[in-house]
Amino acid sequence: MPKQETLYAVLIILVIVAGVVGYFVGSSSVPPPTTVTVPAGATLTQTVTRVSTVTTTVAPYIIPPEKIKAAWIYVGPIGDLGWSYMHDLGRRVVEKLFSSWLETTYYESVSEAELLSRIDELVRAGYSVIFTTSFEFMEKTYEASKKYPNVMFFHCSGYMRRENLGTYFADLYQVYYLNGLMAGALTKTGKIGYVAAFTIPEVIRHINAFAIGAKEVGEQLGKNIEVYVVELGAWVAPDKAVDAVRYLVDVVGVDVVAFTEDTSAIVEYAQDLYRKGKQIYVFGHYGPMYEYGPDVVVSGQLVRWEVIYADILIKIKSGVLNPTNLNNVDYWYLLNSGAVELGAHVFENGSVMMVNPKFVAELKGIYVRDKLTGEMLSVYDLVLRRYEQMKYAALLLPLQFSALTHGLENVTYIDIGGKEKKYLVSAIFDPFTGPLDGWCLYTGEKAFTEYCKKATTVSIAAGKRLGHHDLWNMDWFVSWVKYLGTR
Amino acid sequence: MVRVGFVVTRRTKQNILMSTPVVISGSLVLGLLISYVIIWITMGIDIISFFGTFYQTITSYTGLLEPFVFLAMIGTAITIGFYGSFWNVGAEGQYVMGMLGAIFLTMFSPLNSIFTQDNVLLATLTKVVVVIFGGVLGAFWSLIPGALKAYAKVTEVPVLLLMNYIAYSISDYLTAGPWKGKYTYGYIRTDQIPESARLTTIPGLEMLRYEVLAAIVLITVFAYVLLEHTTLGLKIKFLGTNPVALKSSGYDDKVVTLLTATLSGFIAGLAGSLRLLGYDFRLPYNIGDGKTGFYGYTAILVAWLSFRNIRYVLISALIVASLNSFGYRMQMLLKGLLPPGLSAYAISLVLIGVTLVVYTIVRVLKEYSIKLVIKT
Repeated sequence: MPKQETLYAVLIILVIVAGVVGYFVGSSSVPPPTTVTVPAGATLTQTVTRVSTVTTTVAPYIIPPEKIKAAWIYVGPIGDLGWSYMHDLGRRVVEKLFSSWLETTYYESVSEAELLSRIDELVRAGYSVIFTTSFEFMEKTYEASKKYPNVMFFHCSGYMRRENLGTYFADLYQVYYLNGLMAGALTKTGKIGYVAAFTIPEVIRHINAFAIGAKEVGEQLGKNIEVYVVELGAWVAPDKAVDAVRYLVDVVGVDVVAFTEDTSAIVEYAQDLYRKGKQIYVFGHYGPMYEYGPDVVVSGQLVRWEVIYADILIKIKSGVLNPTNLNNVDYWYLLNSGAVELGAHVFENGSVMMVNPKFVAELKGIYVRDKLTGEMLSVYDLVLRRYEQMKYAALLLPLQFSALTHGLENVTYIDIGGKEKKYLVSAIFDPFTGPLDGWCLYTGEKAFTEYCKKATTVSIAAGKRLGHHDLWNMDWFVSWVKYLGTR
Repeated sequence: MVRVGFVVTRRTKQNILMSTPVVISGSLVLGLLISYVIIWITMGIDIISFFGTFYQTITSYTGLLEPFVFLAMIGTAITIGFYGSFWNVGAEGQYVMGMLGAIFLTMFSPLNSIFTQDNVLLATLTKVVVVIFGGVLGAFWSLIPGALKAYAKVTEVPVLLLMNYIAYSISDYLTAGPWKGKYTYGYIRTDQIPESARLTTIPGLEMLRYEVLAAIVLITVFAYVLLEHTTLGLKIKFLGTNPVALKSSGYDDKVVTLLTATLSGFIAGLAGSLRLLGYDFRLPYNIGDGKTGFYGYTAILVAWLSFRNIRYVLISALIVASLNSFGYRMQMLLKGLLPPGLSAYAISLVLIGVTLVVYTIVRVLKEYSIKLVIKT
């Protein structure tokens, strides 16, 4: 059939021609780089010249952009009500807030394998600020930042940085500690469950903080607190998560559950159990999950990524951050910054419900001793007191912006002489203060901290407060955490 | 009682208006129009931005090339199987086995030491070995259902499907256990393969690798020559259309079945090892959770769309790849309009699904003339 063959050939040629034309149209519409060099001694009002045409050795001068096109890449669906949902909420906030100069878009449910293609598409569409919001995107984001030196990348939760790749994270460990205080008061069996996505340092830190809080209260009430950890091996895995909780509740016998999984599946499962007559207590994770389990959610952790996103975008807009100076940009925001909150519900007026009213009376009726002052108070008051103590850290915020100053974050007081002498830098209280005993989950060459590279157990001296490096690399569990493996 | 039904009255002859390229491209256009109507009704997107985005998709090399090459390779693999009535729905598993083979040789075998030396020639030769080893594992994975079909008369389709899940599980077991990375910060996944083991990016075509380009050309030419110009190709076609005739001509249909399965699995395995060396560099955990991009499954559509004809595999792969990328690009357009719980993948599925339904209907109409019959 010669006619058929001809037609086939014509079709292929058409496709190729369209492709080639489109390629050149596409490549000519890529925005020119914003980097310009100004010859030494010249005033800034001189005609701006592109890098390629000027060959001076003067450091590049960056013109702050008039409009910013920013894109977000999420690992899960934004409908997950947890991690990706809250990132997208942050995006929606800044888009509205800065609508006169900011344009945004996003890709959701992106896997590591397709990340580079998505980034290519975004850069081609003119997006010059790209946020990648999963730890597993780290290496590929780094690769992309090398490929597109004029685009600014920000990677959430990673540690690889370049001049055009910064990192940021809002950490929940203090909030987990507060959740732990409530868990220790409410548990009847003393057995507490934790469903972990991965046992990476971030999650280990959260589990430990939760366990430390639970023990602080539970021990005083005569309970033998044990925290059982099940690992899922996935961030978004509602079915596996429910399966893990079922195992923890039915087989291990826990009655309190906290988790790191990006959906509200565990909360819904707990509410379901409540309807069937079994009360377990859960803590919402990242998103406002109270409404999915009004009878089981005691409290939880909330995040406001918009605090960080707004800061980054304002600094780009005003020329503070540009594709040449992100090497040390490493946001590490805690309770003091406003980027994280205690609670699982946001009221219509914007305020946060810290503790579910259903459990307030019970928590007010349980009395314990504050280990700092020795005075007796209710668990509810203890939670509020610790919250205030960690929330108030007036000088911490600027230190939390840069990798250069993270080492100062565990400095409680400095001596400035004069009549003040003691000056408060960070919070008065931090859950990761010795004495603490633990065991190494990773040892030898697989370990990240000096403790576990040398030994299999960890012992933190009384009064020693862990620093940023210890927290960031945490590879050990406190001794009352039991790791049950991957399910 | 009234009975309504369609009756095939006769088989029609080919004519130019209904030739395969026209059917394929016509279905694409019709499928896009119907998809547009669905998306317009549910989310209200205007027609200009819809087709504008489609145009951007098909003219952007970056988004399209990567899915295209893998769909074309695996599509070719599956099509070879289809010729011989070996319904290879297990290409996904063979693809994963190819990945496993590649990472095993580069990271956990003595060959690893070659990549730490500075010998470019030796490294290049080793890469060829690694890629072929991936193919061999893929072939082995396909040979199991093939042998069961040939010698035990077990239908291959369910076996092939199950083999996919076995491959996923083996991969997850290795990734979480013996192959878990030392430099992954506690994350469950393998370390990345050494820089010198990775394939070479083509400057200007960032999503393509020289080795992948060579492979796709070789595979396409090989498949074409095999099926159109060799006796083995003829035997495979015979097996697919008239196995009795094959047997009565004195050939062993069991051997031909095994060969079909082997070739099909080999090519799918090659795609897997190329993917690992050129793009992924490591194995993720929960690989069955979309981490493969489901190329092995999507490529079944490529084979189906090409009408079991090796000549149309490339164009079908291009169409499926563009619909796939188009779905993703739609996300930028649909920002905030997608109902919760729906991701861009759903849009891709709508586009691909509608196009295939249209195509299937048109194909039946092409082959047969059909009459509506109402009986009382």
